[in-house]
Amino acid sequence: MNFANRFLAGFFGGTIAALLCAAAVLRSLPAEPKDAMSAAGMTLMLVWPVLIVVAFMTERGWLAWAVIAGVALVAAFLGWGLA
Amino acid sequence: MNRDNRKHLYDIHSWAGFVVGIALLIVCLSGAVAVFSPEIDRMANPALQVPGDQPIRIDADLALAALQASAPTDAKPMDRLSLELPNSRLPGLYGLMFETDAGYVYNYLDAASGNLRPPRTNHVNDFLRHLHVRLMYDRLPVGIVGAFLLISIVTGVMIYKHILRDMFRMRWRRTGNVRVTFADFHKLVGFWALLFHIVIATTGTWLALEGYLNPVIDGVAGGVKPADDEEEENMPSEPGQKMQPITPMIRQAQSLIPEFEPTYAAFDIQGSHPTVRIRGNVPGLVQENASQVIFNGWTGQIEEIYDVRDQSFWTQFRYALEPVHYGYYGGFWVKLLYLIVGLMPAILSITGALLWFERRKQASRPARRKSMEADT
Repeated sequence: MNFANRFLAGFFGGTIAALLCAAAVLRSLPAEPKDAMSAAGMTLMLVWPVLIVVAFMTERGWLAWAVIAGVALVAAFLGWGLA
Repeated sequence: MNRDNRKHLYDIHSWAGFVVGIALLIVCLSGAVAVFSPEIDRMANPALQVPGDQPIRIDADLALAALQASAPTDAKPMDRLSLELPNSRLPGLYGLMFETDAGYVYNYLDAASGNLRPPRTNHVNDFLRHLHVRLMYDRLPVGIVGAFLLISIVTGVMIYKHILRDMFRMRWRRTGNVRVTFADFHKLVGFWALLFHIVIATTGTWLALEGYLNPVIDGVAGGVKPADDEEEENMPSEPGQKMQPITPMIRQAQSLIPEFEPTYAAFDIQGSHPTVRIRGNVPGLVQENASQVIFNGWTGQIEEIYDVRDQSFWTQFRYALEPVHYGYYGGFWVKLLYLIVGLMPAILSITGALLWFERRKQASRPARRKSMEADT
Protein backbone atom coordinates (compact mmCIF):
# COMPACT_ATOMS: atom_id res chain seq x y z
CA MET A 1 0.00 0.00 0.00
CA ASN A 2 2.80 2.32 0.92
CA PHE A 3 4.52 1.55 -2.36
CA ALA A 4 1.33 2.08 -4.38
CA ASN A 5 0.90 5.42 -2.64
CA ARG A 6 4.44 6.48 -3.52
CA PHE A 7 4.06 5.17 -7.06
CA LEU A 8 0.93 7.27 -7.49
CA ALA A 9 2.67 10.27 -5.97
CA GLY A 10 5.80 9.86 -8.10
CA PHE A 11 4.45 8.89 -11.47
CA PHE A 12 1.07 10.61 -11.55
CA GLY A 13 1.48 13.49 -9.12
CA GLY A 14 5.08 13.96 -10.24
CA THR A 15 4.11 14.01 -13.92
CA ILE A 16 1.39 16.60 -13.33
CA ALA A 17 3.66 18.74 -11.16
CA ALA A 18 6.51 18.49 -13.70
CA LEU A 19 4.13 19.50 -16.50
CA LEU A 20 3.03 22.47 -14.40
CA CYS A 21 6.69 23.44 -13.91
CA ALA A 22 7.30 23.20 -17.67
CA ALA A 23 4.16 25.24 -18.38
CA ALA A 24 5.26 27.84 -15.82
CA VAL A 25 8.63 28.15 -17.57
CA LEU A 26 6.84 28.50 -20.90
CA ARG A 27 4.55 31.21 -19.54
CA SER A 28 7.09 33.22 -17.63
CA LEU A 29 10.32 32.98 -19.64
CA PRO A 30 10.95 36.16 -21.65
CA ALA A 31 12.03 34.30 -24.77
CA GLU A 32 10.80 33.40 -28.24
CA PRO A 33 8.15 30.64 -28.24
CA LYS A 34 10.43 27.93 -29.65
CA ASP A 35 13.25 28.83 -27.25
CA ALA A 36 10.92 28.95 -24.26
CA MET A 37 9.49 25.57 -25.30
CA SER A 38 12.98 24.01 -25.34
CA ALA A 39 13.64 25.36 -21.85
CA ALA A 40 10.23 24.09 -20.73
CA GLY A 41 10.98 20.67 -22.21
CA MET A 42 14.30 20.37 -20.44
CA THR A 43 12.61 21.47 -17.20
CA LEU A 44 10.12 18.65 -17.68
CA MET A 45 12.88 16.11 -18.38
CA LEU A 46 14.84 17.12 -15.27
CA VAL A 47 12.05 17.84 -12.77
CA TRP A 48 10.00 14.74 -13.57
CA PRO A 49 12.60 12.14 -12.50
CA VAL A 50 13.60 14.29 -9.51
CA LEU A 51 10.01 14.24 -8.28
CA ILE A 52 9.94 10.47 -8.67
CA VAL A 53 13.06 10.33 -6.52
CA VAL A 54 11.40 12.62 -3.97
CA ALA A 55 8.34 10.38 -3.88
CA PHE A 56 10.43 7.37 -2.91
CA MET A 57 13.02 9.08 -0.75
CA THR A 58 10.72 10.84 1.70
CA GLU A 59 10.22 9.15 5.05
CA ARG A 60 6.42 9.01 4.83
CA GLY A 61 3.97 8.70 1.94
CA TRP A 62 1.98 11.80 2.84
CA LEU A 63 5.19 13.81 2.87
CA ALA A 64 5.84 12.77 -0.73
CA TRP A 65 2.41 14.07 -1.72
CA ALA A 66 3.02 17.25 0.26
CA VAL A 67 6.37 17.95 -1.44
CA ILE A 68 4.95 17.29 -4.92
CA ALA A 69 1.87 19.40 -4.20
CA GLY A 70 4.20 22.14 -2.93
CA VAL A 71 6.23 22.04 -6.15
CA ALA A 72 3.00 22.18 -8.19
CA LEU A 73 1.77 25.16 -6.14
CA VAL A 74 5.06 27.04 -6.54
CA ALA A 75 4.97 26.34 -10.30
CA ALA A 76 1.37 27.54 -10.49
CA PHE A 77 2.25 30.67 -8.55
CA LEU A 78 5.28 31.46 -10.74
CA GLY A 79 3.50 30.67 -13.97
CA TRP A 80 0.06 32.10 -13.31
CA GLY A 81 0.19 34.14 -10.11
CA LEU A 82 3.03 36.40 -11.14
CA ALA A 83 2.20 36.55 -14.84
CA MET B 1 14.21 4.89 2.40
CA ASN B 2 13.07 1.61 3.89
CA ARG B 3 13.93 -1.86 2.67
CA ASP B 4 10.56 -2.53 1.00
CA ASN B 5 10.71 0.63 -1.05
CA ARG B 6 14.25 -0.16 -2.10
CA LYS B 7 13.12 -3.60 -3.23
CA HIS B 8 10.22 -2.13 -5.21
CA LEU B 9 12.57 0.37 -6.82
CA TYR B 10 14.91 -2.49 -7.66
CA ASP B 11 11.98 -4.19 -9.41
CA ILE B 12 11.11 -0.98 -11.30
CA HIS B 13 14.76 -0.60 -12.31
CA SER B 14 14.86 -4.20 -13.54
CA TRP B 15 11.58 -4.02 -15.40
CA ALA B 16 12.33 -0.60 -16.90
CA GLY B 17 15.54 -2.06 -18.28
CA PHE B 18 13.94 -5.34 -19.27
CA VAL B 19 10.91 -3.85 -21.11
CA VAL B 20 12.95 -1.50 -23.30
CA GLY B 21 16.22 -3.45 -23.12
CA ILE B 22 16.43 -4.51 -26.77
CA ALA B 23 15.17 -1.14 -28.06
CA LEU B 24 17.61 0.67 -25.74
CA LEU B 25 20.42 -1.51 -27.04
CA ILE B 26 19.51 -0.66 -30.66
CA VAL B 27 19.09 3.08 -29.99
CA CYS B 28 22.36 3.32 -28.06
CA LEU B 29 24.42 1.22 -30.47
CA SER B 30 23.11 3.05 -33.54
CA GLY B 31 23.52 6.41 -31.78
CA ALA B 32 27.10 5.66 -30.74
CA VAL B 33 28.04 4.57 -34.26
CA ALA B 34 26.08 7.46 -35.82
CA VAL B 35 28.52 9.88 -34.17
CA PHE B 36 30.89 8.92 -36.99
CA SER B 37 28.21 8.57 -39.66
CA PRO B 38 29.70 11.21 -42.04
CA GLU B 39 33.02 9.36 -42.01
CA ILE B 40 31.31 5.95 -42.39
CA ASP B 41 29.14 7.38 -45.17
CA ARG B 42 32.22 8.55 -47.08
CA MET B 43 33.94 5.19 -46.64
CA ALA B 44 30.86 3.32 -47.84
CA ASN B 45 30.27 5.50 -50.90
CA PRO B 46 32.90 5.77 -53.67
CA ALA B 47 30.85 8.71 -54.99
CA LEU B 48 31.87 10.76 -51.95
CA GLN B 49 35.58 9.91 -52.05
CA VAL B 50 37.45 12.87 -53.52
CA PRO B 51 40.52 14.52 -52.01
CA GLY B 52 39.19 17.11 -49.61
CA ASP B 53 42.14 19.47 -50.01
CA GLN B 54 41.80 20.05 -53.76
CA PRO B 55 40.93 23.61 -54.81
CA ILE B 56 37.31 24.44 -55.62
CA ARG B 57 37.30 25.54 -59.28
CA ILE B 58 33.61 25.14 -60.04
CA ASP B 59 31.37 27.81 -58.60
CA ALA B 60 28.00 27.03 -57.07
CA ASP B 61 25.95 28.34 -60.04
CA LEU B 62 27.74 26.09 -62.52
CA ALA B 63 27.44 23.17 -60.13
CA LEU B 64 23.72 23.77 -59.66
CA ALA B 65 23.12 23.93 -63.41
CA ALA B 66 25.11 20.73 -64.02
CA LEU B 67 23.40 18.87 -61.19
CA GLN B 68 19.94 19.99 -62.28
CA ALA B 69 20.75 18.77 -65.80
CA SER B 70 21.68 15.39 -64.32
CA ALA B 71 18.25 14.93 -62.72
CA PRO B 72 16.70 11.48 -63.23
CA THR B 73 13.96 11.39 -65.86
CA ASP B 74 11.32 10.52 -63.27
CA ALA B 75 12.40 13.26 -60.81
CA LYS B 76 9.46 15.17 -59.35
CA PRO B 77 9.46 18.96 -59.71
CA MET B 78 10.41 20.64 -56.44
CA ASP B 79 9.61 24.12 -55.20
CA ARG B 80 12.37 23.93 -52.62
CA LEU B 81 15.83 22.93 -53.78
CA SER B 82 18.79 22.51 -51.50
CA LEU B 83 22.26 22.49 -52.99
CA GLU B 84 24.85 21.04 -50.63
CA LEU B 85 28.07 23.01 -50.84
CA PRO B 86 31.58 21.64 -50.33
CA ASN B 87 32.13 21.58 -46.55
CA SER B 88 33.83 19.56 -43.85
CA ARG B 89 31.10 16.88 -43.97
CA LEU B 90 31.16 16.72 -47.77
CA PRO B 91 34.66 17.85 -48.78
CA GLY B 92 35.30 18.64 -52.43
CA LEU B 93 31.75 17.96 -53.66
CA TYR B 94 28.47 19.62 -54.48
CA GLY B 95 25.34 17.55 -53.87
CA LEU B 96 21.71 17.77 -54.92
CA MET B 97 18.84 15.50 -53.90
CA PHE B 98 15.94 14.55 -56.18
CA GLU B 99 12.70 12.87 -55.28
CA THR B 100 11.65 10.11 -57.67
CA ASP B 101 8.94 7.46 -57.65
CA ALA B 102 11.49 4.95 -56.37
CA GLY B 103 12.70 7.21 -53.54
CA TYR B 104 15.41 9.81 -53.14
CA VAL B 105 18.35 10.05 -55.53
CA TYR B 106 21.54 11.92 -54.59
CA ASN B 107 23.76 13.31 -57.33
CA TYR B 108 27.21 14.72 -56.68
CA LEU B 109 29.61 16.87 -58.65
CA ASP B 110 33.37 17.16 -58.20
CA ALA B 111 34.05 20.76 -57.15
CA ALA B 112 37.55 20.71 -58.68
CA SER B 113 36.96 19.09 -62.08
CA GLY B 114 33.24 19.68 -62.58
CA ASN B 115 32.68 16.01 -63.38
CA LEU B 116 29.61 14.22 -62.15
CA ARG B 117 30.40 11.50 -59.65
CA PRO B 118 29.00 7.96 -59.89
CA PRO B 119 25.60 7.64 -58.20
CA ARG B 120 25.47 7.09 -54.47
CA THR B 121 24.95 3.40 -53.79
CA ASN B 122 25.01 3.16 -50.02
CA HIS B 123 22.66 4.88 -47.59
CA VAL B 124 24.27 3.81 -44.32
CA ASN B 125 24.11 7.38 -42.99
CA ASP B 126 20.34 7.61 -43.50
CA PHE B 127 19.88 4.10 -42.13
CA LEU B 128 21.79 4.84 -38.91
CA ARG B 129 19.97 8.11 -38.39
CA HIS B 130 16.56 6.57 -39.12
CA LEU B 131 17.32 3.69 -36.76
CA HIS B 132 18.52 5.95 -33.96
CA VAL B 133 15.95 8.72 -34.33
CA ARG B 134 12.87 6.66 -35.25
CA LEU B 135 13.72 2.98 -34.69
CA MET B 136 12.79 2.70 -38.41
CA TYR B 137 9.26 3.75 -37.49
CA ASP B 138 8.59 6.92 -35.50
CA ARG B 139 10.08 9.23 -32.86
CA LEU B 140 7.53 8.20 -30.22
CA PRO B 141 9.01 4.75 -29.38
CA VAL B 142 12.48 6.32 -29.16
CA GLY B 143 11.08 8.92 -26.75
CA ILE B 144 9.52 6.16 -24.65
CA VAL B 145 12.88 4.37 -24.57
CA GLY B 146 14.46 7.65 -23.43
CA ALA B 147 11.86 8.07 -20.68
CA PHE B 148 12.52 4.52 -19.47
CA LEU B 149 16.25 5.29 -19.55
CA LEU B 150 15.58 8.32 -17.32
CA ILE B 151 13.58 6.14 -14.92
CA SER B 152 16.39 3.55 -14.96
CA ILE B 153 18.97 6.23 -14.15
CA VAL B 154 16.92 7.65 -11.29
CA THR B 155 15.99 4.29 -9.76
CA GLY B 156 19.54 3.00 -10.31
CA VAL B 157 20.99 5.89 -8.28
CA MET B 158 18.36 5.43 -5.57
CA ILE B 159 18.85 1.71 -5.02
CA TYR B 160 22.62 2.05 -4.98
CA LYS B 161 23.40 2.22 -1.27
CA HIS B 162 27.15 2.85 -1.30
CA ILE B 163 27.58 4.84 -4.47
CA LEU B 164 30.68 6.75 -3.35
CA ARG B 165 32.30 3.91 -1.42
CA ASP B 166 32.08 1.57 -4.43
CA MET B 167 33.18 3.99 -7.11
CA PHE B 168 36.43 2.08 -7.68
CA ARG B 169 35.30 -1.40 -6.62
CA MET B 170 35.51 -4.15 -9.22
CA ARG B 171 35.65 -7.80 -8.17
CA TRP B 172 36.65 -10.05 -11.07
CA ARG B 173 35.44 -13.63 -10.76
CA ARG B 174 35.89 -16.03 -13.59
CA THR B 175 34.41 -19.02 -11.79
CA GLY B 176 31.72 -19.45 -9.18
CA ASN B 177 29.46 -16.50 -8.58
CA VAL B 178 29.87 -14.32 -11.68
CA ARG B 179 26.88 -12.31 -10.54
CA VAL B 180 29.18 -10.27 -8.29
CA THR B 181 31.36 -9.40 -11.29
CA PHE B 182 28.34 -8.42 -13.38
CA ALA B 183 26.93 -6.34 -10.52
CA ASP B 184 30.22 -4.53 -9.88
CA PHE B 185 30.75 -3.85 -13.57
CA HIS B 186 27.14 -2.64 -13.97
CA LYS B 187 27.50 -0.25 -11.04
CA LEU B 188 30.96 0.93 -12.05
CA VAL B 189 29.91 1.78 -15.61
CA GLY B 190 26.65 3.31 -14.36
CA PHE B 191 28.47 5.52 -11.87
CA TRP B 192 31.26 6.80 -14.11
CA ALA B 193 28.98 7.52 -17.06
CA LEU B 194 26.16 8.90 -14.90
CA LEU B 195 26.49 12.55 -15.88
CA PHE B 196 26.79 11.69 -19.56
CA HIS B 197 23.74 9.41 -19.32
CA ILE B 198 21.67 12.13 -17.68
CA VAL B 199 22.63 14.59 -20.44
CA ILE B 200 22.03 12.08 -23.24
CA ALA B 201 18.75 10.82 -21.77
CA THR B 202 17.27 14.27 -21.09
CA THR B 203 18.28 15.82 -24.43
CA GLY B 204 17.45 12.66 -26.39
CA THR B 205 14.05 12.18 -24.77
CA TRP B 206 13.16 15.79 -25.38
CA LEU B 207 14.37 15.79 -29.00
CA ALA B 208 12.29 12.64 -29.60
CA LEU B 209 9.17 13.73 -27.76
CA GLU B 210 9.07 17.48 -28.33
CA GLY B 211 6.59 17.10 -31.18
CA TYR B 212 4.25 15.23 -28.85
CA LEU B 213 4.90 17.19 -25.65
CA ASN B 214 4.84 20.70 -27.13
CA PRO B 215 1.03 20.79 -27.46
CA VAL B 216 0.62 19.21 -24.00
CA ILE B 217 2.87 21.78 -22.29
CA ASP B 218 1.32 24.57 -24.33
CA GLY B 219 -2.15 23.29 -23.39
CA VAL B 220 -1.27 23.24 -19.67
CA ALA B 221 0.21 26.73 -20.04
CA GLY B 222 -3.05 27.92 -21.58
CA GLY B 223 -1.81 28.39 -25.15
CA VAL B 224 0.02 31.59 -24.30
CA LYS B 225 2.80 31.24 -26.82
CA PRO B 226 1.68 30.17 -30.26
CA ALA B 227 4.27 28.90 -32.74
CA ASP B 228 6.27 31.70 -34.30
CA ASP B 229 6.41 30.20 -37.77
CA GLU B 230 5.63 32.91 -40.26
CA GLU B 231 3.34 31.99 -43.08
CA GLU B 232 4.44 33.87 -46.13
CA GLU B 233 1.93 35.04 -48.63
CA ASN B 234 2.41 33.26 -51.93
CA MET B 235 1.54 35.29 -54.96
CA PRO B 236 1.84 34.05 -58.54
CA SER B 237 5.28 34.78 -59.96
CA GLU B 238 5.73 37.48 -62.56
CA PRO B 239 7.06 36.35 -65.94
CA GLY B 240 10.54 37.52 -66.90
CA GLN B 241 11.92 37.57 -63.38
CA LYS B 242 15.23 35.71 -63.04
CA MET B 243 16.95 34.31 -60.00
CA GLN B 244 20.19 36.04 -59.05
CA PRO B 245 23.42 33.99 -59.08
CA ILE B 246 24.20 32.38 -55.75
CA THR B 247 28.01 32.48 -55.82
CA PRO B 248 28.16 36.17 -54.75
CA MET B 249 25.57 35.42 -52.07
CA ILE B 250 27.77 32.67 -50.63
CA ARG B 251 30.77 35.03 -50.56
CA GLN B 252 28.70 37.75 -48.96
CA ALA B 253 27.39 35.35 -46.30
CA GLN B 254 30.97 34.35 -45.46
CA SER B 255 31.95 37.98 -45.00
CA LEU B 256 28.86 38.83 -42.93
CA ILE B 257 29.12 36.01 -40.37
CA PRO B 258 32.58 35.50 -38.84
CA GLU B 259 34.04 31.97 -39.21
CA PHE B 260 30.98 30.93 -41.22
CA GLU B 261 31.24 27.65 -43.14
CA PRO B 262 28.48 27.58 -45.80
CA THR B 263 26.91 24.13 -46.13
CA TYR B 264 23.69 24.58 -48.12
CA ALA B 265 22.13 26.99 -50.54
CA ALA B 266 18.40 26.46 -50.09
CA PHE B 267 16.03 27.89 -52.70
CA ASP B 268 12.41 28.62 -52.08
CA ILE B 269 11.31 29.47 -55.60
CA GLN B 270 7.57 29.38 -55.16
CA GLY B 271 5.41 32.50 -55.35
CA SER B 272 6.29 36.14 -55.68
CA HIS B 273 8.90 36.20 -52.96
CA PRO B 274 11.59 33.65 -53.80
CA THR B 275 14.42 33.43 -51.31
CA VAL B 276 17.88 31.92 -51.18
CA ARG B 277 19.09 30.85 -47.75
CA ILE B 278 22.81 30.33 -47.38
CA ARG B 279 22.89 28.03 -44.38
CA GLY B 280 26.02 27.02 -42.56
CA ASN B 281 27.97 26.20 -39.47
CA VAL B 282 29.72 28.40 -36.95
CA PRO B 283 32.19 27.15 -34.33
CA GLY B 284 31.02 26.31 -30.83
CA LEU B 285 28.12 24.52 -29.25
CA VAL B 286 25.72 25.37 -32.06
CA GLN B 287 23.41 23.14 -34.07
CA GLU B 288 24.56 22.40 -37.62
CA ASN B 289 23.15 24.59 -40.41
CA ALA B 290 21.40 26.85 -37.89
CA SER B 291 23.10 30.10 -38.88
CA GLN B 292 22.09 31.61 -42.19
CA VAL B 293 21.86 34.65 -44.41
CA ILE B 294 18.61 35.05 -46.35
CA PHE B 295 18.64 36.82 -49.71
CA ASN B 296 15.85 37.93 -51.97
CA GLY B 297 16.10 35.56 -54.92
CA TRP B 298 15.20 38.18 -57.55
CA THR B 299 17.12 41.18 -56.31
CA GLY B 300 19.94 39.51 -54.35
CA GLN B 301 19.36 41.89 -51.46
CA ILE B 302 20.00 40.71 -47.92
CA GLU B 303 16.80 40.09 -46.00
CA GLU B 304 18.15 38.60 -42.78
CA ILE B 305 21.46 37.76 -41.13
CA TYR B 306 21.05 35.10 -38.49
CA ASP B 307 24.12 34.17 -36.46
CA VAL B 308 23.04 31.92 -33.58
CA ARG B 309 25.92 33.22 -31.45
CA ASP B 310 24.38 36.71 -31.49
CA GLN B 311 20.99 35.50 -30.29
CA SER B 312 19.63 35.45 -26.73
CA PHE B 313 20.77 32.91 -24.14
CA TRP B 314 17.61 30.80 -24.59
CA THR B 315 17.97 30.70 -28.37
CA GLN B 316 21.54 29.51 -27.95
CA PHE B 317 20.31 27.00 -25.37
CA ARG B 318 17.79 25.61 -27.90
CA TYR B 319 20.43 25.31 -30.61
CA ALA B 320 22.85 23.64 -28.17
CA LEU B 321 20.62 20.64 -27.39
CA GLU B 322 21.33 18.75 -30.61
CA PRO B 323 25.15 19.12 -30.61
CA VAL B 324 25.21 18.21 -26.91
CA HIS B 325 23.27 15.04 -27.74
CA TYR B 326 25.21 14.07 -30.88
CA GLY B 327 28.64 15.36 -29.87
CA TYR B 328 29.60 16.97 -33.18
CA TYR B 329 30.77 20.22 -31.58
CA GLY B 330 34.30 19.26 -30.64
CA GLY B 331 36.07 17.39 -33.41
CA PHE B 332 37.43 13.87 -33.56
CA TRP B 333 38.35 13.30 -29.89
CA VAL B 334 35.01 14.49 -28.55
CA LYS B 335 33.25 12.26 -31.08
CA LEU B 336 35.43 9.32 -30.01
CA LEU B 337 34.51 10.00 -26.39
CA TYR B 338 30.83 10.07 -27.36
CA LEU B 339 31.27 6.77 -29.21
CA ILE B 340 32.88 5.08 -26.20
CA VAL B 341 30.66 6.54 -23.48
CA GLY B 342 27.64 6.26 -25.79
CA LEU B 343 28.13 2.50 -25.81
CA MET B 344 27.84 2.42 -22.01
CA PRO B 345 24.01 2.31 -21.87
CA ALA B 346 24.19 -0.66 -24.24
CA ILE B 347 26.69 -2.33 -21.89
CA LEU B 348 24.44 -1.51 -18.94
CA SER B 349 21.51 -2.98 -20.81
CA ILE B 350 23.40 -6.24 -21.40
CA THR B 351 24.91 -6.52 -17.90
CA GLY B 352 21.52 -5.56 -16.42
CA ALA B 353 19.81 -8.33 -18.38
CA LEU B 354 22.51 -10.82 -17.31
CA LEU B 355 22.01 -9.76 -13.70
CA TRP B 356 18.26 -10.15 -14.07
CA PHE B 357 18.62 -13.70 -15.42
CA GLU B 358 21.19 -14.57 -12.75
CA ARG B 359 18.85 -13.25 -10.12
CA ARG B 360 15.99 -15.36 -11.49
CA LYS B 361 18.27 -18.38 -11.46
CA GLN B 362 19.24 -17.76 -7.88
CA ALA B 363 15.72 -16.91 -6.78
CA SER B 364 15.00 -20.47 -5.79
CA ARG B 365 18.21 -20.76 -3.79
CA PRO B 366 18.32 -20.00 -0.04
CA ALA B 367 20.98 -17.33 -0.53
CA ARG B 368 18.63 -15.05 -2.44
CA ARG B 369 18.59 -12.35 0.15
CA LYS B 370 22.35 -12.26 0.37
CA SER B 371 22.80 -11.87 -3.39
CA MET B 372 20.27 -9.08 -3.53
CA GLU B 373 22.32 -7.29 -0.94
CA ALA B 374 25.36 -7.63 -3.23
CA ASP B 375 23.47 -5.87 -6.05
CA THR B 376 22.54 -2.88 -3.98
